[in-house]
Amino acid sequence: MQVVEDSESAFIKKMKNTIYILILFICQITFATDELARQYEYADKLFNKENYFEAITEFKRLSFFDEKNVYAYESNYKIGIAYKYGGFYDNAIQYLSHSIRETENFEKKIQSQFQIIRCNILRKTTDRALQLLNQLEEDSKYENYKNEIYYWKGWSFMISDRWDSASQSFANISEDHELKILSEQIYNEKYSVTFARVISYILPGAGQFYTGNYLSGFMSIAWNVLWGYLTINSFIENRAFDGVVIGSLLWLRFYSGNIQNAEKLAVQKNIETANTALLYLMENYRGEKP
Amino acid sequence: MILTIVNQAQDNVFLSIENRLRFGDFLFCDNDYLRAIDEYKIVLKNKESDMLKFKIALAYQELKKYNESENSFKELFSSQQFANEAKFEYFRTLYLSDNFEMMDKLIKDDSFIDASTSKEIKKLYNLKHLYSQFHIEDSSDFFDPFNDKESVELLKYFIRKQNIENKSPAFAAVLSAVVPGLGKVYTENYGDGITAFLLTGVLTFLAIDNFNAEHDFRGWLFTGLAAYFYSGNIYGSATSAQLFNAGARITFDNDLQLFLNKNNHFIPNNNLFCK
Repeated sequence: MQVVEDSESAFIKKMKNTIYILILFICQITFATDELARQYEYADKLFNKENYFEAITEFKRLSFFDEKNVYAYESNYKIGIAYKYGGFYDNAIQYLSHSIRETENFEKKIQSQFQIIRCNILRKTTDRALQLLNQLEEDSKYENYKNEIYYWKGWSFMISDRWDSASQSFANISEDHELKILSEQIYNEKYSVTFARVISYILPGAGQFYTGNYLSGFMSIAWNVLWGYLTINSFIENRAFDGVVIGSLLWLRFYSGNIQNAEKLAVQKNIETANTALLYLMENYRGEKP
Repeated sequence: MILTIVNQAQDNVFLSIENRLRFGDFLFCDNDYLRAIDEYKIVLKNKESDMLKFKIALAYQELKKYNESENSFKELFSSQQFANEAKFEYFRTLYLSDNFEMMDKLIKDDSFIDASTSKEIKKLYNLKHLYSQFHIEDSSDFFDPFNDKESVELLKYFIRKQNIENKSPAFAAVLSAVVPGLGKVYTENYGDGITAFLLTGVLTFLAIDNFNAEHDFRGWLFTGLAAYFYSGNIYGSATSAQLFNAGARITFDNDLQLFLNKNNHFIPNNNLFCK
């Protein structure tokens, strides 16, 4: 009888110990998970408050202690976005690429991919952005994302000053897309540099008139008429040497200067037009920006 | 025990001193020096550590914050564990921040240089003298701290430094005084030289021709213009020689900088803290 009681109490003791250990184990796991969740919450709060430097630190801390990679996608994605807002596009792309590797979820992968493309647009590596967009466009998996692909393609073209291509890309989304109309307008407003140069060959000053620089155009035509007249007059009066000197040193100089000037003015006007459009987009456009 | 865990959870275990140190080390090796410094500084408030101070100084050096780096290394000159490393890294910081004056002072100070790092310090000191603005007094001493392979690589730049083309501004001016444009040709500005020669020649001819034809006003006008171009060309030739010399020195220094960066300034990369 005594033996049975002893073995029973030993069994109860053993059970108690097992239960304690189990409770401890559960507590440990719960608190660790809890701790990660709390860290994520804290980092996210900093991120939402736009305190990006601190947010990156805390997300990196989360990543470091998150041994099971529970928050791997979220931390890497948000570190990438925080770097993007801070203007560190190389770092942003690095972490966004990590985030793609950390998830199997297609939607999340796409979200990161588009962010990488937007970072490329912002850091003006638009060729890379277009290359990535073309890859997505060719892939049938992204069939439902065509509009988004066209949209960011349009932005890449706008940033790389290819307004006609931008207009075509936005037109693929909708014929009356706000950015399609704007790109078309900018493309039409821009001057043809070749045309400005060619008409200046034919009539000095014409290129300047074409770009709206009337005073410059008038001065150009006046100087060319003056030196042209003096050159021809010298030859008519048999002063061949004067004719050659005035013609080569002055008339030719003003004639070639007029062509260069017309070209320069057209380029300058185009840059002004593009900059005004980009400034307008930055300040007034309500749609999604890179 | 349960209470301890509960307390730990409430305190945020990730922010414990031990975990901050681990996280700081991770950031340091991940080249995120700014954040590593922040973590180390918090740890240092609770725990004295020369190693952390040394790592902070290294992090500042990596961030090119040379003043902070120098000050942090200086604090470790009396450290038992890191005195020699700190002195060497301090010297390296001076080298990276182009503080030649201080480097000169320290290289003569025997109490500063320890036998274990003297070779590396001399390497950095000699490499600094390879830049065009310095003169190497004793060429036989220059290669002493370097091994044979390093010496062979450096020899190319050593010879190039001795032969950096130097055009004399005075000689260029004299050449242009004798033959307009010749000074420019001497400084390898061939187009400018030919233009200056033709322009001065044509203007001089026009002046003489007009005087001969008794067009005195035109004669004096072209004489003035010819004199203007002639003197301008002499001045321009002297300037062109100076620009040529500056260009040659800048090209050499840039090439040397790239070469030294590529070879880590011939200092072995002993990564003490990151594997």
